[in-house]
Amino acid sequence: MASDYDAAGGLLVQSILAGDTKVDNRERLGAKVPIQLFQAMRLVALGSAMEDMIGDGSRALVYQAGQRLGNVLGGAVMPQAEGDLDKYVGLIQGVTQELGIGFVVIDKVDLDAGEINMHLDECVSCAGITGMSAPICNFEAGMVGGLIKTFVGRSVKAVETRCHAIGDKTCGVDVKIL
Amino acid sequence: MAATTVAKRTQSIDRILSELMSLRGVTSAALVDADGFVTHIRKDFEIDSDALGAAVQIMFGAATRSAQHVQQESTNMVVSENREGLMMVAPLAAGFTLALVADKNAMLGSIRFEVKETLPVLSRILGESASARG
Repeated sequence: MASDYDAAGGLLVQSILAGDTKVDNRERLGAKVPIQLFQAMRLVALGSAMEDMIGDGSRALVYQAGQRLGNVLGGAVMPQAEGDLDKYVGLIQGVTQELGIGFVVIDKVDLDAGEINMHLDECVSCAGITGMSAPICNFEAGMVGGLIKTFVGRSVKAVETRCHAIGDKTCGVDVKIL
Repeated sequence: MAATTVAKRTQSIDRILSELMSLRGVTSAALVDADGFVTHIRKDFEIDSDALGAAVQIMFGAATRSAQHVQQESTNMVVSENREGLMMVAPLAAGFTLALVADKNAMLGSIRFEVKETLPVLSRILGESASARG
C-alpha cells in the first residue's frame, strides 16, 4: 500500500509536470521559496542531522533519496521522450531549469562503454557554499543516477566528481551503467 | 588497475560469497560499498539490490552511531533477527560491508563463526584494491 508520502509525492510530480504556478493554500506567499530554505532542508535535515543519526549511512540514504526523485521525474517524462536520449535530456533540462535545480549540461555519452558524464551549473544544493573538503551534492548525483537508470533500464552508479562547494566552477557527475 | 587484477579480485570475492551461500539457510550474500551500492552479490531470490545496499549502510550506520552513544566504540557486527529469518551485516576495509540474508533454517552461531573467519580475507582483498587505486 502506498504511504501518504508516496501519495503526496505523486501529487507533487503531477503539479510539477503540469507547470502549476499557483499552489493551493499559498495565496499570499506564492509557490516559490528562498534557495536557503531548500539548502537548509538538504544540508541540515537531509545532511548533518541524518549524519548525526546514522553516520556514514547518510551518504547512501541521501543518494537513494535523490535516485528516487530521479526515477519519478524520469518515469514521468519517459513517454514523451519516445526512447530518444536527446529528447529525454531536453525534457529533463526543462524540468530542472523550471524547478531551479540547475542547468544540466551533457559532456559525454558513450553508451557502448556504459558511460555518461554531465554537469550541473548553478546547482541548487551548493550555490553559495564554499570551503568544503569533499563534494556535497550526493542528492543530485543520486537524482542523475535515477534519471539515467530510468532511461536505460539498468542499474547505474553516479558519482559527483566536481562540486562548487570545493572550489569547482560547476558540479560534475559521472555515471557508469552497470 | 589492470583488467586481469580486477577480474582476479572479482573471482576471489565471488568464490567467497558462494562459500557463504553454501551455509545452511543463507539465501543471499553481498558486498556493499560506502555509497550503498551492491558491488558483488550471490542470491537465491530476486532482490532490489539498490534498496538493499542503501538499507544495509543505513542499518550499519545507525548501529555504529548507537554504539558510540553508549560508549561501546566500534561496531563489529549487526544482526537483525526477523520473523522469517535474519540479516547480518559486518564492516570490511575501504568502507565496504558484508551483508548476509538467511531464512528460518539458518544457524546463527555457525554463520557468525564463518563470517568472522571470512572478514579478514575479504578485507585484505578490498584493502589491496583500494591501495592499488591510490
